[in-house]
Amino acid sequence: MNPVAPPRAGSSDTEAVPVVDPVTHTDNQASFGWSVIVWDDPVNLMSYVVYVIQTLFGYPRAKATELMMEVHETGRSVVATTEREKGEYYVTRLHGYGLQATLEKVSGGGGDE
Amino acid sequence: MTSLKLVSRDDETGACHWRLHVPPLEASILDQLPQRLEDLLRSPQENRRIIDRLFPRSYEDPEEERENRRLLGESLFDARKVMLGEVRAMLAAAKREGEALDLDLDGPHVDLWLRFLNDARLVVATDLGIEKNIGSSKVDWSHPRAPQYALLEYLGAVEALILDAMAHADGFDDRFECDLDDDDIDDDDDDIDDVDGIENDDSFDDEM
Repeated sequence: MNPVAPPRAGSSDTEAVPVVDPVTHTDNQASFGWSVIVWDDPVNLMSYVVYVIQTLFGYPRAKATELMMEVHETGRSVVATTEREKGEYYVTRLHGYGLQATLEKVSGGGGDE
Repeated sequence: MTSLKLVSRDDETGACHWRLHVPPLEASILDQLPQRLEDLLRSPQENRRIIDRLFPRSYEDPEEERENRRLLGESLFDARKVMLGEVRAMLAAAKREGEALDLDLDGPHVDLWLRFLNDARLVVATDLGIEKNIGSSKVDWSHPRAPQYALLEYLGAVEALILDAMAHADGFDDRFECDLDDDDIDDDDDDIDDVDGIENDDSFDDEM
């Protein structure tokens, strides 16, 4: 990820949060079956990735920043775990924002297929 | 100088209305970008690397990916074309002072412009073959592709300007205005580049 303009601590949430379904990200991931994964990228700004995660998933800025940092430091992050159809929707939306994202079946999870 | 100004804010919802001022040279570049991106979309076979970056795979498994692409059909391309059409319409309707440009951005328009600027950066970066984190950088003007690097830097600076302003809008009063600092587009060509024409700026090294 490109580090220009990293998000600052204590920032407020962005104003646009059209799709909010926080229950898709849960510690009980296996019950949903499919993970939405965001991958590291050398071009996307860190602050942009935070914005996108907030906008699509409705997470608070701190949570979105945490996920972005996981992408940045480890190369990937599971940003949501959900059923397959909704996962495909999120991946397509993430692609629309220019993020690299894939859908992956949770190993040992109760996938819907 | 490109600048962003907070025009108004709804006290109840916190929704902000911004004005992005773009000087003549940069405005002429922004005016051309939607058409250039549309041209790329019209010739996917000739621009395979860029198309693959704009439309990455959803599944690692080739069978899953093939089926997903079949179901999506042309919808991904169509969505990009719609976005570019909306950007083009905004540019056509924008206030012009001479050849400078004033873009009014509210919530949905901010989102649209962030996606557009980011797509443009992805296209330029892919065309330049950038494959690792470049950080904030200075353009090496002796490099044969310096104009593309400069464009990448400029678009990133505008994107960061908008994102930073949005993130801190709660703390602004209605007189807020922020310029792109000259240092954001540094044309110092004295330094040796680290990444094919780009020199990393140590001041951003703490991000990695």
